[in-house]
Amino acid sequence: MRVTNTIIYNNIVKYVNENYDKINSLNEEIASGKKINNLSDAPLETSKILRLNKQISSITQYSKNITTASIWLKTTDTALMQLKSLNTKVREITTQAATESLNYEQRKILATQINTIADSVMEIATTDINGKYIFSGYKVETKPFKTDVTSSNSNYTIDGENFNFDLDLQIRMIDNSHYEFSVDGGNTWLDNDGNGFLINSVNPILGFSVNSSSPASGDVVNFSITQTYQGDNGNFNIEIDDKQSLKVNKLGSKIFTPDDSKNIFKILGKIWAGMITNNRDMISKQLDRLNDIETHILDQDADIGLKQDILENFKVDFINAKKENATKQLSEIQDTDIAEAMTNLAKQQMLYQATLKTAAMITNLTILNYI
Amino acid sequence: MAIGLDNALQIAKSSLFLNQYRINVIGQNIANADNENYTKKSVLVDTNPPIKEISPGSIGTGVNVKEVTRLIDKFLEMNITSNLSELGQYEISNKYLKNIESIFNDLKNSGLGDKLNEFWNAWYELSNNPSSTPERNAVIEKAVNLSSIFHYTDNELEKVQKMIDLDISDTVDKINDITKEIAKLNQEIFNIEVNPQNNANDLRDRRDTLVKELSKYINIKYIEEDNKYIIYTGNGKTLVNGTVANSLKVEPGSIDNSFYKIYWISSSGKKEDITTELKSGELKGLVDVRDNYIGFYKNKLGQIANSLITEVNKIFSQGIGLEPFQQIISNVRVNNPDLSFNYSGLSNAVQQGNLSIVVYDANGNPVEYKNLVIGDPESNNPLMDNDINNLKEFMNEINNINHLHASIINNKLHISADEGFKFAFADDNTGLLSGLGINTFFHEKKYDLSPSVNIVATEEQTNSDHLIFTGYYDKSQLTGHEYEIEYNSGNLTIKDLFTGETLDKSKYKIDVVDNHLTIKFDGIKLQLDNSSWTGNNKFHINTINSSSIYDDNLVDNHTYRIDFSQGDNSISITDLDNNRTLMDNEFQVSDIDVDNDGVIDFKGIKIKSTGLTITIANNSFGTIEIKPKIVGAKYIDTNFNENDVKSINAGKVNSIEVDDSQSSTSIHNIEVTNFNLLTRTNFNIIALGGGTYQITDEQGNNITPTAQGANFVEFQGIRINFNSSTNNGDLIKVSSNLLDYSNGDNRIALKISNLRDEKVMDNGVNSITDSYSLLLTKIGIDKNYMSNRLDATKIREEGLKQQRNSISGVSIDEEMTKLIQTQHAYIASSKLISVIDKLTEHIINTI
Repeated sequence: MRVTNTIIYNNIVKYVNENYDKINSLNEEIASGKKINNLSDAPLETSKILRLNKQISSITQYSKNITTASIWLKTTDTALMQLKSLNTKVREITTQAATESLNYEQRKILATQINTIADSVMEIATTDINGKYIFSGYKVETKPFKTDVTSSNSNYTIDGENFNFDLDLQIRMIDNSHYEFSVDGGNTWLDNDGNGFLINSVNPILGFSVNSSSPASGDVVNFSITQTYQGDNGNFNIEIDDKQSLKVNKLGSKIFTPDDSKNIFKILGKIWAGMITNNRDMISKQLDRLNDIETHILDQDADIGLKQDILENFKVDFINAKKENATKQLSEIQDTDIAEAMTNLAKQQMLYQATLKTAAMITNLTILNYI
Repeated sequence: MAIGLDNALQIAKSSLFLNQYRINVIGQNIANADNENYTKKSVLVDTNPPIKEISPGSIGTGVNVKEVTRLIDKFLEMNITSNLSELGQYEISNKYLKNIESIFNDLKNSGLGDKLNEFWNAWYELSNNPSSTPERNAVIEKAVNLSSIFHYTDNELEKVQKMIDLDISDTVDKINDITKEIAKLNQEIFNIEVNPQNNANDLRDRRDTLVKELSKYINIKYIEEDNKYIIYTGNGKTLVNGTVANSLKVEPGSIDNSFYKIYWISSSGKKEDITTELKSGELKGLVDVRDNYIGFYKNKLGQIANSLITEVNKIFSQGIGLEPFQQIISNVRVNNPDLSFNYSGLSNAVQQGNLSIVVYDANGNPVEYKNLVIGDPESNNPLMDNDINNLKEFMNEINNINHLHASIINNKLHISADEGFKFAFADDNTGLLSGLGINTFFHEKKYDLSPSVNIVATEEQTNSDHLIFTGYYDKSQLTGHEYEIEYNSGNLTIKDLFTGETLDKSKYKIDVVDNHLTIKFDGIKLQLDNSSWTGNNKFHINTINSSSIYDDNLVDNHTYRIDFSQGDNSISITDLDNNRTLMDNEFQVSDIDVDNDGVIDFKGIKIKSTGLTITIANNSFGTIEIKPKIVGAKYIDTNFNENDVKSINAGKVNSIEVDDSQSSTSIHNIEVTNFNLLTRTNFNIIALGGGTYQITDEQGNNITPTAQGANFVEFQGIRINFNSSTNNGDLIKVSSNLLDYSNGDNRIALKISNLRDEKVMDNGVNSITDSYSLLLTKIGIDKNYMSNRLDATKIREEGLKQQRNSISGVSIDEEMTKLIQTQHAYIASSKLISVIDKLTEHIINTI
């Protein structure tokens, strides 16, 4: 082939450019720390990179979700354990109150303790996380229970809203300003040693007053105080992994008032009523109920414990391992192997120098040097 | 006859001349050694004719220059030319694809994929803490970020398209300049080469250079024969014919009025669209990247945005924010409230099913509950059944609910509650709310159906063509009705044939400018030739009544022409991009009777190949051109800003849910007969046949129905209506609830965050992120394909250039050698003259 000057010069330029281009892309690889910098560098890896990025992002979110779930479970667990120990306390007091040797005055003192415990039970029921009640279902801004007071005669009211257990109260006016009352369905009437209790002033036994603007002798009025659930049935689910969500809440209605026999407010009310009416039989009848409640609380807590175990022992490790794995895969696809890239760069540098030197030598060759 | 020294002197002289000539040519060669387009010239010599009359033999008379030729391989030149076209195409495509590649920052962790992840995570955060304000704010903020990266990407892609458009216009200018110059050169070459001995070498070099430049822009073929030099485009359109050049022209596309189309102008001045006919060259590369590559990317991006909008909205619209609504206006303006939902241009297709509305009093207690039945949204006769098929019926049903008022203003639905009352939506398995843009998170998705409206007009009582322009000035005002326009010596009557009313003077506007008469009414603009208006003339005007896309996946970016023929009412549809008439089974035409009077009001046309539906007044005729485009990526935006945190729906109304999957009879709807009796309990209802039922609650207690019948049962404040009589053994599960709502409810937030992995795209094959990463992969592969093609073409170019250089190029060493050779010959000839001179002198002196 006939070789002309243009061919030689063109080739030199081409070789120099090619080598310089390679050096440049190696430089970009090293400087950015990534071997894939453009979509066209490795199109088929792009999907993998995006999928791994999505996975890492969702795993990071799941760890946050797991933290939230743990807080809910832990708070619920603590509340249930406190409730259980309160229940034990109630049983002790009730057992004590059921013994023959105790007198009425001592039973009345125990009744005030039941009062205090009922307050604590209600406090547990209103447990919150950052001001959101956890036992109200989705109604996190509504207290799970409210005290409903009803009266069979609208002329008579009681201010029993601070009561934290259920009570059926009956009063009978013995004259125009005094009344007697019963808390056991009319079996026992308390009449303050025959003097009756003064209307519109605080009843020393009940702790609240019966009010009326027009009391009339002989009136019989029924009151009922009930703790009513006002949350909803919402199941608070938190997603802890792909397509895997965990219910982390318990409904107040299921824990505190599942049915009449396990309704803690009702039982406390009956115990209290038994104590203030000195009704040993009524008190001792509730002991079995208290055992049922304890079993119920433990039942309720069983799956909370299980869920906590799942989160702490399994999910956290699993999620971390998954994240580590995804990060590693991403790094393998995306990150520059610096050692390899540096070696390549050194090699490329040598080649480039050789090309330049050859070019210098070739361009010197011309007939003009010899004529 | 003897021979004298005189002849020898002549021989020497001819040799001197020859070598002088040669030195000139060598000089020219050396001077152009670096000029790529130069072809090496060489001198062809001829021996002068001998003197024959003497004997013995013939004596030579020296040498002369025969011609100077270019060393050129014509076949090789042709190969170079066609390769240059490919090089031009791949080079420019590669350049722009590289440009596009850099728009997507996903490999640098700041791309759309990352914003999508952040968006889903914001919903997860909200689901962890549904009543909290910062989490609600974060959802809005992430949605804004996500929308802006969609806008950015779409906008950058469009910028590249616009840059390409300018490039196309420049390239066409360059092509025209070159063809004109070639035509001029042809004339000059012809003038010089009239004498066959003269070669216009340098002009030919110049022409070859121009042809090569031209072939870079557009692929060409050229023929030279009998002093004729003709250049064709690859597709056979003449660009240069001897001394005449045909020009190319760019004009914005007629249909979407945006990007340039390339036209070839024939000698008679006729325009021919050659945009899609180009074979190679920069022009082809530019059109390809603009329309096929970027066109595809934008379409895909739009589909991704549309899926996001629709799927999020469908879930979101079933939810409730922290408070119910006092009033609400639908975002979507329907095309016609009389048309069934799927013909009236909703933002997504609607399915048959139920939708419920709850009204709350001032204390937040539910006082009204209505479970509406949405019937066949495709119904051609919306008034036929008792269900809701169009917006008007929907409005009427809402008006039947106590304390609620609905109206349709400007084709948008307005709903408001009485003072002190509020309302919320509960359960919607029809997609109607999201389709109407009611209680939605994102703005409704948009399509560019431009021009979705072509006015179809016909003249009835005149022979001349008076109508200069038909179009619209305000799309939103168009009614879709048919009009009859009479113009009689200055009196204009416009009659709306659908309502039968004659338009009041205040409803239209007439302007006369020069000889043009402009009439505007109901969004329509007509321009008539005023001068020829005498006597009685009558026009019929129709518009497209509505148009919408029913399936994003089908949109192919093609332009369709729909011809409605007069008389036989037949319709034919042509895909203009393929120049193909659609077969009968590729589209579907239905007769729509909106007022159920037995008279067909509209024709509904569903084009299956592009996912488009349009309706047009019955008996219309004329032509419509339409090019549906998905523009979701351009317009995606959330309906909320940081002041609206309360309106973010994280939860839903605690509604009554029924499961009729184990029943032979399906449930028509649910009514609430007594709000005070509602409980949060699950019931099992077993039909015993004969219109009696056994109902048990979750504790196993038997509930006695308060009323029952073959196709209904009533208990605990709930009445369930069945579509037909129940059969013995049918089991229906009812989960009763109080129809209240709670701030800690995270059901909607959780469902939206779960969309992250739902396979909602590409016919249920890919998730939104998957679909996006496939787009990125495609962009990478396209770019790689192009650079591979470019590399291959460059290597071929390299080889061809070397071959050309090897034949036509200048070697300085060679030229120097020749120069020395010529120098020697020149010296020798000079010596000859000197010897003859001496001989002559000797003779003269001796004599």
